[in-house]
Amino acid sequence: MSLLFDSGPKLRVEEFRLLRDLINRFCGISFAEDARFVMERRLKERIDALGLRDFGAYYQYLRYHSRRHAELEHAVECLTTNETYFFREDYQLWALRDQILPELRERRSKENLGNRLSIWSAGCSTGEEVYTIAMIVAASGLFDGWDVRIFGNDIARNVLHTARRAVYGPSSFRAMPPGYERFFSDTPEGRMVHPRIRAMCHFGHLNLLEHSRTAIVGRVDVILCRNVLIYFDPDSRSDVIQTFYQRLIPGGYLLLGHSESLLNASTAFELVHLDRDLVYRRAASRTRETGTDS
Amino acid sequence: MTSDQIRSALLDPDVEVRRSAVVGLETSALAEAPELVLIALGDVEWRVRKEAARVAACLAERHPLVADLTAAVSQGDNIGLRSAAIEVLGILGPAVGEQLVSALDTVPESGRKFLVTALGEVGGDAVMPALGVASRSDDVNLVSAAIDALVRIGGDAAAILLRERLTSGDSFIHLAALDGLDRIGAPIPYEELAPLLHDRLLRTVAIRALGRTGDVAALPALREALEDRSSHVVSDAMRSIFQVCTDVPDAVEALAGLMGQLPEEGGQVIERLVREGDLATRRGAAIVLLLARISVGLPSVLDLIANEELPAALGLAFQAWGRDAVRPLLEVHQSVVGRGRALALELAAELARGPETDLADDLRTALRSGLEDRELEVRVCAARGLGAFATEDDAGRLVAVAFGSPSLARSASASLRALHQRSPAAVEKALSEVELEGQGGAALTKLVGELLGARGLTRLSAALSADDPPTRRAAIEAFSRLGGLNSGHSIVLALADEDVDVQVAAANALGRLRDADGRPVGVDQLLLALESREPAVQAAAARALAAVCEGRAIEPLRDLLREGPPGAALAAMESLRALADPTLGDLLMEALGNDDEELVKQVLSAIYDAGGGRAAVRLAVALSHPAWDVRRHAVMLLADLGGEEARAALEARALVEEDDLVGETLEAALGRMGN
Repeated sequence: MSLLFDSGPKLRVEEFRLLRDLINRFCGISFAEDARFVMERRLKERIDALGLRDFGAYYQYLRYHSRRHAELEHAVECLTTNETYFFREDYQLWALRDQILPELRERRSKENLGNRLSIWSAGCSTGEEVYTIAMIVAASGLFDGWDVRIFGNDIARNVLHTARRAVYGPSSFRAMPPGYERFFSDTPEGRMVHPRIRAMCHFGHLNLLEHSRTAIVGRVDVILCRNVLIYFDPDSRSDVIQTFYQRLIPGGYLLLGHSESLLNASTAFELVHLDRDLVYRRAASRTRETGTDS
Repeated sequence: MTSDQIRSALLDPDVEVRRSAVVGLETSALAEAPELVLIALGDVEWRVRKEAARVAACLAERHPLVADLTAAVSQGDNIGLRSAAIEVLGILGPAVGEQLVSALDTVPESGRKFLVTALGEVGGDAVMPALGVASRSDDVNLVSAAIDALVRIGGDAAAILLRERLTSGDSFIHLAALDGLDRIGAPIPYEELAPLLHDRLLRTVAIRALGRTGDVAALPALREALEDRSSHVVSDAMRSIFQVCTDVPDAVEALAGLMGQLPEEGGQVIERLVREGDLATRRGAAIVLLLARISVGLPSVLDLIANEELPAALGLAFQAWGRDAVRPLLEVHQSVVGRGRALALELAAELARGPETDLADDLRTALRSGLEDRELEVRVCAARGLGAFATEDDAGRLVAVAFGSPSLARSASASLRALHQRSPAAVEKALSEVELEGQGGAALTKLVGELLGARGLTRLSAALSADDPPTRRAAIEAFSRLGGLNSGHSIVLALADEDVDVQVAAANALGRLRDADGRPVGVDQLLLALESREPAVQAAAARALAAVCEGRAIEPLRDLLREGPPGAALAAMESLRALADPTLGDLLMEALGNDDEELVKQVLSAIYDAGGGRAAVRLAVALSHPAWDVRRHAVMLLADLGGEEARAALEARALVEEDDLVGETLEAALGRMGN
């Protein structure tokens, strides 16, 4: 493979359409016409790894092989995984720290909802976001002695392996603010997340479109789903948002990426203006248990 | 809920109560439902209005709502109500177009522009003439609304109406039309834009439109715009540069010739634009930065492509900088992290290829150091890059790193292959000592087969028993390249491997393998493999049997076609075609009704192969298949078949085909047939 010079199999326009449709049916992710070359470049490695001849053979593998599901997950991972790092898009994390977590702490105490905090990082990739949230919760001191669970899911198994391993190289620390180094220890392979932080974090393999399986997550106080919905087609996006609605407690928060919104996707959430960010909240009103979402 | 309860709920101070009441209206059989939903459309909260718009569109199927919605659009008091009513009309779409066009003559003049806005939401052929008239009106507000509506509708017809307004003689209308063309992304010929570039009011939008000319003639104006005092103009020029460079193959080279020297502050602006702004602006700025050879901005370019891929135009810009970019890349590679560092190394290695220069030593040092980087991606890129610069000493180094991961092994193998051309003994020695197992096993086994040939036989035999299935698969492929009866015997046993992909590799290999007399090996075992429980193995065996022209396979392949799982049935169909099964025709019509589109495409190809008087008629049936790829395949076969019947079928389909790709194929097919 070469970065600058053409090499390897070419993805023809009809093969692109077939692969795109197949992946969309599998997990709701959609690719625009101009994504053909990105797809070609990123899936070449899979063709190479499987010892296949071309994209036509790869399509047939994804259609008929007994390992097609695992390979579809590989393909999705190749096509959607971008570099992530601790404290990415930190303004939103500071909104979580400064306003959302204190409010949740107060509400849970006031309404006798139990000393439990659940946060879901939907589409957690290699786990940096999950551990970032755990570090913020730990550093806040608001939930000491509470049962804190931060759950990260992804459709790709390989990234979950990295997440569970919890050892990271220098590129994961590019935006690390001071004061959080104490949550890591050095190892020969990189810096490892402290066991205390790891104990709060759980990972799982979930396709966000598999509505029934997402019930495993239970009811959560906050969902972070950042830069994930951008990959979905409108119908799948609505389905995923419906799932989020059902997983959130009334008054629970949904944090999306900076370029994402629920406009034209759902009216079931309130838009909340925080000091540093705009977030969504499941309405906590008299009708909160009717679930009249659409 | 009764209508009174809903009416009361719609007045409740709690948004969620009002929204829930609206949701309840959707399935309500109340006669008052239209009236109630109209109240909700005027709610103060967008969530209630949004829900009401959706519900109103559902109710409009059972109740005559369009007149009330038209009135709501043209009223002047409640903006929320107007917007929501327009949204409902938009959901109802072209079906209500004629009704709205008729209403244009009856609504008060103050409401006409709002109705024109609604026409844009509704769309469809019926509204286009009315929008054309409105866009030529003397009323500036109406013109503006019409242009907006055309933009909402988009497409060629809207673009034609908008381009007509570029010659209106009124700068304001030029601006609105240009902006509209920009929003729908319509191409505009450079000649139509050139006269507008010197109008200060129009310059920014015209610069943006230059990107859609698909013409290198636009580049001098874009180059000039890079020195504009307005950062907006510079930013728009970047976006246009990226687009022209993407659309036109020679544009990067042409722009390189125009680049010259940029003012110092210009370099800073460009570097900032690579880091900020939308993706197209960042990419355009990166192209400019590379063509202007501003090395201080390289980390930003690397950061950009680390997360967003390397577009072809940006690759060409790197090539235009050429070997002179190698040192700057090596300088910055230590200061960037992750994928950026990996890319810096790999780009440097690719750009430095060619005759050995003093760059090579520095590059080798950096690449060797990259092999020991903490980040896997850096190690992979370093291993891949080292190939062209490696010396004998690197053979052992590359073999050693290959065990880090399968991708690292593939990169190291590629470099070892390149090094073998210069230093065969060193590479062969390194390979002769390595254990073919684990992460690097598959790639190195492949290499042993390629480079050592028969000398590696013992090692390859051992690799056939490796614990790692990809290594066993690679050993089979290596044996199949060696050929001969002994190789065949080793491969046949792999049909009993516990791993599906190893079995598939064995079947594929047996399809290619011949003994010393040119006879196939393992045919009986391949016939047995047709009965495997794994569809992938059945499919591979079917194809292998076709490749060795085994007549005994025809009967079981027919069974597989009739009763096998989709992937195996598909391979059976392909194989029966290849074996020229004389009775295949009897199976075709039955298989044509199969649910699997890939199989149906094979059936169509078989019908085409068989030819005969009925072929065109049978293929034409598939032109209305629900799957676009089946229709497209039928189009291509009919075009190849030719003749009046085929052409008539294609012409008829061209009138109703809605899929873009099939439409393009139809157009090309009819063109080829001399339509």
